Amino acid sequence: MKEIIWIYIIDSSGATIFGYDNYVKGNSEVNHTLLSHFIYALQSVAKNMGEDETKEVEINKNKFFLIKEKLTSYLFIIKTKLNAKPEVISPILTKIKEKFVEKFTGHFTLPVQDKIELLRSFKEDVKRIIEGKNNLSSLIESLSKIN
Amino acid sequence: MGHLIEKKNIIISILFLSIFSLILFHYINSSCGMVSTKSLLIPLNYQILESSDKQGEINNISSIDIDLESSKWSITDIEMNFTNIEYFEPDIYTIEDIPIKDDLFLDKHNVKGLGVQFNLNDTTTISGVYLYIKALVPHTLDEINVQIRGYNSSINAPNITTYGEIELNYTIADGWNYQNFASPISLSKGNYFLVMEGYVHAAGEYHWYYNDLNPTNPDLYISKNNGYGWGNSTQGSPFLYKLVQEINRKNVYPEEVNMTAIINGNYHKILNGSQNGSGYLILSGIEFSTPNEILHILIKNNRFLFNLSYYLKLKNQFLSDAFVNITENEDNFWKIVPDLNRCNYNYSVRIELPNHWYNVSVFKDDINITASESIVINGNLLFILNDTIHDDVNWEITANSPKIDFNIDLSRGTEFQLGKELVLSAIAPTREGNFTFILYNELGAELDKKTIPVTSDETLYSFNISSTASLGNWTAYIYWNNDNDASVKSQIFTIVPAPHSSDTPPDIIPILILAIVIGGASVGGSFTVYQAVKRQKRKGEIKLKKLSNKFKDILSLNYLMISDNKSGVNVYEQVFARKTIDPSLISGFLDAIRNFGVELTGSYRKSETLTLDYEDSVILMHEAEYFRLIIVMSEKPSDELINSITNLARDIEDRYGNMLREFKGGKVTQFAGISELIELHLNVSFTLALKIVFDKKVKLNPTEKLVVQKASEIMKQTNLDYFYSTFLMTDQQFDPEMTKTIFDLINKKVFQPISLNLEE
Repeated sequence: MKEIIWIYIIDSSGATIFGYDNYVKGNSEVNHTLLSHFIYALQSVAKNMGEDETKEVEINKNKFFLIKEKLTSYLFIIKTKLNAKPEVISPILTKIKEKFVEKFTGHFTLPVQDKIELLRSFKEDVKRIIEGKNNLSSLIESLSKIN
Repeated sequence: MGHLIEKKNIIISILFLSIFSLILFHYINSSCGMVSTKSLLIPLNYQILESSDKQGEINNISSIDIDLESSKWSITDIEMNFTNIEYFEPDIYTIEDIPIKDDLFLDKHNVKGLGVQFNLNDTTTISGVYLYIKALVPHTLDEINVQIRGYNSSINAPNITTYGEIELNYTIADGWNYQNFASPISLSKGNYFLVMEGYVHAAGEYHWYYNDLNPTNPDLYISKNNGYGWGNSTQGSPFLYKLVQEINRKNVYPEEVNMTAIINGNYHKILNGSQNGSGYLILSGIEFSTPNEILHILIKNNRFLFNLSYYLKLKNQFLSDAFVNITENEDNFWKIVPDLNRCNYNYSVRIELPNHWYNVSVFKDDINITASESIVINGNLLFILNDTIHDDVNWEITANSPKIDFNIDLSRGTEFQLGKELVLSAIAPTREGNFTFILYNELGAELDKKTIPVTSDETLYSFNISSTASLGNWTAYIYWNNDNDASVKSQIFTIVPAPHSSDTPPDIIPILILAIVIGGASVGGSFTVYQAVKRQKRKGEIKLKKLSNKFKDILSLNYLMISDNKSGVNVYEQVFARKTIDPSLISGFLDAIRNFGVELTGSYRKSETLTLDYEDSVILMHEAEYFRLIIVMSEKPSDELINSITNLARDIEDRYGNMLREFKGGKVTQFAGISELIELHLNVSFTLALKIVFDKKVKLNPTEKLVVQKASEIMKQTNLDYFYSTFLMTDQQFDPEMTKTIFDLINKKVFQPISLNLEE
């Protein structure tokens, strides 16, 4: 899924819980100080969002898709290129949120090392979700070419 | 042979001419670009006024309800004629009115009801009764009612039929109290009972006076209910009461009985008509709408019955679909496509067209009916009259208008390099409407299209030219329009390759050339120039590094605290746009300072400012005579920031030193001004939520204008009334020019911080 640039999960105070860079050749190196402030600032865009509502905003030639998790108030963000389609990205975002809830419910009080392990396995899940969608997109694309 | 040579020469000449023509044609094409004349269709909304009349008759009514068929209408004129006006005049009929005794009353334990007989000799409408009563110690939980009941002739007491009931009104504690039934009660000839009964909660007593000395109607029975049913009926001592009856007066003049209509909350008297029982009301120059499709008019007192004929004038303004087609070198073409659905009677449409529109035509189902009698053009007003408006018809109104001139500011030039930003600004003829910018490349392919509302004198347009874009002549079409005017201009831009060396500052190149020319080819001269360039470059690098450090430092700021040394009280603190600080972090840090030797980061100490790694943060601490300044950051600070903190501490000492010396706890509002010093030294606004404050007096350069415009666009996109500086950084990368411009705009107070609580 080349359109996705990164995925971040932040808590209600703006602290980053999880970050995933979808490395694509040619993408420039991330400035973490700026990114951290930017992600914090994105929180204000999601201020009045309801549960299961996906918000799409375009900032500086990128699209940002946001979804909020009700219980934890965690904010799930996907940054994409401008050509990303909401009908493709929104289900990915929802799936990532559901996977996160499934994985971490009841495990927020685990020791740090266990949390790190969980996050590592969650990262693999995120990768699979994105790649899975990638394969599906390719299939749809090739089918549409045949027609 | 000579002929052959001649023929050969002619062929060569034709061939040469053909090649020359081809080259010439290519040259002309290249210099003019490949974009042919373009036109743009812009959808609009056009305001249309529809009017209609509503008339009708309604008979035998006491209030007026007129169905307007839609709530969209405003009522502008009302004409109402009333006929056969009947008035139900109230008349008080006194039965007994001399209070002699008051020893009969309702209470909690004994009497639950008291009643008195009344007799009607004819059909009568009763709207209320007066009772002469005395209420002692009433309680809010008491439930006492006044009823008109049927007459049980076998025991001369009330029967079970209730004709009307109202909760007892005892606003006068001892005297006549009026009991007004919700709606008048029509009773036929016969005997009835007027009853006061109910439940007394506590110590209350509800006395009903009676006359057993010299009653006017000694034959009337009174009855009691002791909780086991009605009985104990006796004559000669009727309770005191008056009946309020309505007398039906037919064909009255409205003014005689003060007949008043309540329309939209206002009272309007109905005037006398020419005949008995007739009246009228005419209102013009009014304008109000109804909450739903019914116009509801009440007649005051609700004591009338009448027939009504009415005539209403209605109007509605609505926005119709429309568009303007703007083509270079042609006049504008306007088309309005109204959806007209006839309503009521005498329906017509009025459209106000601008004075300078010409060639106005009206099409009904594609047939031009402009010349018909149903179309009236009077000055700039176009009327479509009643007779021609039918349902399910397609309407189109077309017109032309001349172009209106506007200016383009090309001060940034018309030649741009690959990888740079193409910028131009347009000045609208009036400060309204929209600009639409469309950029085509040298092959006529559309590269960009942006519509920007006109909000200031100049409207900026920019386009990032990618480093791989095609070279040549690009054409920008700049369209401006509002609802009445439109225009277009085109401008050719030349896109050229980027120079190979981007390290040399562009402003040095002319100096370099000049130096070489002046110095000739001498080695010494060249060396001097080389040194100057190197110095300039180094200076530029230092400047850039400083800006980058400042940027990084500010975004790393998490928390700032100033505490009084004596009491340890925080006199000032500020949390920056980052995650909230765990209070234990600071207290833990201070404990560590007190109890243990803390390892210095990088083993350096700058003036009185200590920099320490603590947990996941970097903590800076400046110890002054009266206070301690602590700053928590997420990254290591630059030397410049440490210097700024030292300067900040000195300024705080200068301005607040005395206050801090005398501070003995309590209110800390006197230290609120420290925020200004923090902004002065640390420029923290950069990290906060910012709003845009437009001030005509503040002059902005084109780059600043562009950044303001970008910020406005982002606020619109994010649906926020503020933005963050990092929203303006493409791909979350440090952009020196953007950073500098944001700092400049903060200094000019065009970008101002606002306080937010994101967790609200």
